[in-house]
Amino acid sequence: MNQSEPQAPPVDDDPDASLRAASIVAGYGDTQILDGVDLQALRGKVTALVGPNGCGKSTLLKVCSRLLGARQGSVVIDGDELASLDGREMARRMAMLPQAPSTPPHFTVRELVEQGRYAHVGPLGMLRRQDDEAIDRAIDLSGMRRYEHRDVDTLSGGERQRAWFALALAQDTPLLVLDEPTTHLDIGAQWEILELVKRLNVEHGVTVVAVLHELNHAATIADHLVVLQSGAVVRSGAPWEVLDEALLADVFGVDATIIVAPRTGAPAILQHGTRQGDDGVATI
Amino acid sequence: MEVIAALARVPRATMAGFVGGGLGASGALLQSLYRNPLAGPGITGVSPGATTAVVVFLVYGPELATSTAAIVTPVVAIAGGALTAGFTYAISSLAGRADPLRLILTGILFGGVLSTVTSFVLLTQGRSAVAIIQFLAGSIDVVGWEEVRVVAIASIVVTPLIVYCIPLGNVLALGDNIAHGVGERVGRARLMMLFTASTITAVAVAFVGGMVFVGLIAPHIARRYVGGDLRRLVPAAALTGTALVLLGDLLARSVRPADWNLPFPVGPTTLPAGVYLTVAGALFFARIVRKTT
Repeated sequence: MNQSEPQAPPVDDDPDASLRAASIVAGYGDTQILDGVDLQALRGKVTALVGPNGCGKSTLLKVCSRLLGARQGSVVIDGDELASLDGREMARRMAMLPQAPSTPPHFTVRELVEQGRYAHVGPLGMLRRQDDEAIDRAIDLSGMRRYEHRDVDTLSGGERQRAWFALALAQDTPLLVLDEPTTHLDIGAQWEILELVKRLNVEHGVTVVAVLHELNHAATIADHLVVLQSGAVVRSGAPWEVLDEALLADVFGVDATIIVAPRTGAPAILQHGTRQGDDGVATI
Repeated sequence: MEVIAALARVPRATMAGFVGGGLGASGALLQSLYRNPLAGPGITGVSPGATTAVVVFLVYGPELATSTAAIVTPVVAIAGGALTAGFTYAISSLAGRADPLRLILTGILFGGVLSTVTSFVLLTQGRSAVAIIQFLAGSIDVVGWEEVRVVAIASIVVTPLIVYCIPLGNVLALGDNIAHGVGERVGRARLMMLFTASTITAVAVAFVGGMVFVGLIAPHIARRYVGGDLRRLVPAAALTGTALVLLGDLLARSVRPADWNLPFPVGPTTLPAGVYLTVAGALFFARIVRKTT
């Protein structure tokens, strides 16, 4: 797999796709960011979106969760047009964890997680204390039982991110959409989140779409990689099909060697530096 | 004689309870809505809008009997507050979404413009401005049963709105993206909360004038004891607001600067309750600013 030609994934009526975005054109103001992008989230799989800064990964997630309207193209979730669903129906089908949410003052972890039930019980139902299983399950799965009654703003970055994760889990959706869930965390906390994602996927069959910056993380936990560059998909497929040294040089401008990770067999990327042009000057 | 004096204080105290409670509750809602602990009825443009409307009405409006004024004044205040809130929201939405920062900045802008209007109206009034100044400073001196009845009815109408806003505000406090993600219609929720808080503030302003600091302080005090969840914070802030206004009124009645033989003349024998509340509020405000920066 060494094509340099950009290639779009086939878009068909795949019943295995939980979420399917087709020919998405989107942007902000006069700036067009996505230029006809297709994306499929295969049911029961982890799909990772990767690409350099500004390639449109986060914008694509925003379109898929209706935070941003698409100028062209459509998003279909479980056979229904996303645009036709009301907000609460959408929230029962997909949970979205945005980048670095800001923490409200003096909210306990449990109170935060309770808010994930909004779509299920409605505003007036939220006046009661939410005691359903989904909340306890979300708190247990994310390992937050110990911190249940602590204020979120007193927790460390990793614990806080797990609290937000628990809120998304309390929505009890078959699809989970994550925008850079490991940003600003130390590597231990990053792996806690990644293992949580993998566990949800393997043990609970949750379909995941995640924007990930670290390619080694993406290669380890994703079944399917989608590489974006300048608002278009340049390659997609299983990690070994997608990742090669030419792609790292072309898309990321990085000189790297790819080896087989000794334990997982996944591609492992050893980075040497920026790609050097023939004149010895970095090309980016 | 003592019975009469005590009876005269009942409407005052009742009014203090309603107004303090309303300002406390609306402050709690606004701080969630704006996601900012420094937000309050004063910063959103609503209270300047209501105040200016009432002042203009007092000066240029027709002379009304007390019972009519008790109904007309809050209506004027609500109109002024709602108009300002509407403009604030519309202008903030011009360049895209009406996010909290834009709402606050536009609110401050309107507040500034409107207080200039109020000052101008006062300047044209010369000596007869004393009553208006007293109103602006915030006092419950002149409250009778007529006013209390109107406020009680307004409270009954607005309480279901407050209750409905509690879950909306809890979700909104988590940020627009999360609120959207859990299924809330963000724009509608924001408008609903703004409308509710504006109405309460305007009614409070109509009767007691400048006591809006209560709406800033009460939620702060309450939050320390019950946390940020609006299901507990709103009632707690309402109780705290009531206590604060009662305390302010108690001070206003018992402290008599005129008896202190000050080297300068003091006009009225007592100061309006709003003066004490504003001083307390300013000190408190300074503390919050120091802690949050």
